[in-house]
Amino acid sequence: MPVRVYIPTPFRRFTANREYVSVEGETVRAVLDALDDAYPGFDHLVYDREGRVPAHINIYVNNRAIDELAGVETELSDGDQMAVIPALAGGAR
Amino acid sequence: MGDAEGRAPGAPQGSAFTPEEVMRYSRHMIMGPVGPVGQRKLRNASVLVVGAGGLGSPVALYLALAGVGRIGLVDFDVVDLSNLQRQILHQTADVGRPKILSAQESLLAYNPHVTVNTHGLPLTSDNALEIIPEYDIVVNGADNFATRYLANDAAYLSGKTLVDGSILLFDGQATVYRPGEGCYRCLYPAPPPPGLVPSCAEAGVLGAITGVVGSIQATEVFKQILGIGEPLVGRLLLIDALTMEFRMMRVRRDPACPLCGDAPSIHELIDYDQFCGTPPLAVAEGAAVAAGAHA
Ligand SMILES: [Zn+2]
Repeated sequence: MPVRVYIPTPFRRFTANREYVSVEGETVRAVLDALDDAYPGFDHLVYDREGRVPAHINIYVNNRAIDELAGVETELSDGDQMAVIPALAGGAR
Repeated sequence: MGDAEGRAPGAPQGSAFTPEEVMRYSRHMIMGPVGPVGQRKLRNASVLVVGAGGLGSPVALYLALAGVGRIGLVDFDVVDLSNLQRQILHQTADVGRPKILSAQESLLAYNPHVTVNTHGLPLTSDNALEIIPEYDIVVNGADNFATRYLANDAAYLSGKTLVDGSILLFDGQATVYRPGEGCYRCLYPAPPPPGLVPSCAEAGVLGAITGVVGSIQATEVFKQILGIGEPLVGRLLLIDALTMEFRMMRVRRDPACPLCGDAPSIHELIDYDQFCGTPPLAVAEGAAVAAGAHA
């Protein structure tokens, strides 16, 4: 089941500048693994050394953070859209 | 505190608007939800803008144009040539001047009826709980994670609404944190390790996106002051200038949040440089001098 993942501009250099990437996966974790297969190094963005999603990154399924759902084990349905969003700090300089 | 007040001489403080003010604000006052009552609310309001840069410039500008009575600016930096691609309160002749001074000058030139308080210091754990309670609403336009967590914690501990915005590359984010309805720590419990998420100085930022996000922040301030509309509370607006797509994500108060959760562990401000693993901000020499001159 292909899932469409939205990639914001700070992460687009990891996905050959693609805004959307479609990969197969039944869960968030499977989709993230498939993303790393397609774009090696992507897992460094979304997992820390302990294999957890770091606190400055939110992964959304549709418009809900996976922390509200079942984390990376959240199951995906046909037509779901994922997004991987980092905290941004820019403002003044 | 490094405070300084700027106000044009003779600007009226009384309850009635002058004919000049009525004309100046007529496009707002003619709208039902604003009217003379709303315009008075704007004049009686005070808003602190953290950072007089990319976001702080458009936010403070629209607040001043609309006649928000007292606008506070916190910034210790001096204007750099590389700021002028987006920081609309500063001009070429301002390069090397403290940002708070060129910002104050610009704002008063646009609207002499408002008061602009300048705080020419970095926002720190030592001064944040003195500065923030002086204002009704706080706007976050900080350029680093340490100041973002500091502004978040200080606004929450002071019971103030924080209108948050951030930008990088072609992306923007905006949301509003009302005490008790979620905070920056609920959304992002910890900052990225130093060096992982680049700053605008390192990665760049589209100048116009600062105007988009800053205008949204200013809009949220107006709504908050006027008590109209649906505030951007519990929602995170994501803006992508390249696809020109706007997304709305849900934000919820995290019961486990160390600041605003059910069993909070943070009751006072902490060392935010240590929390973020970043070196303390270096205060530019010119700005420190300016702050001293206005202390
Ligand atoms: Zn919180």
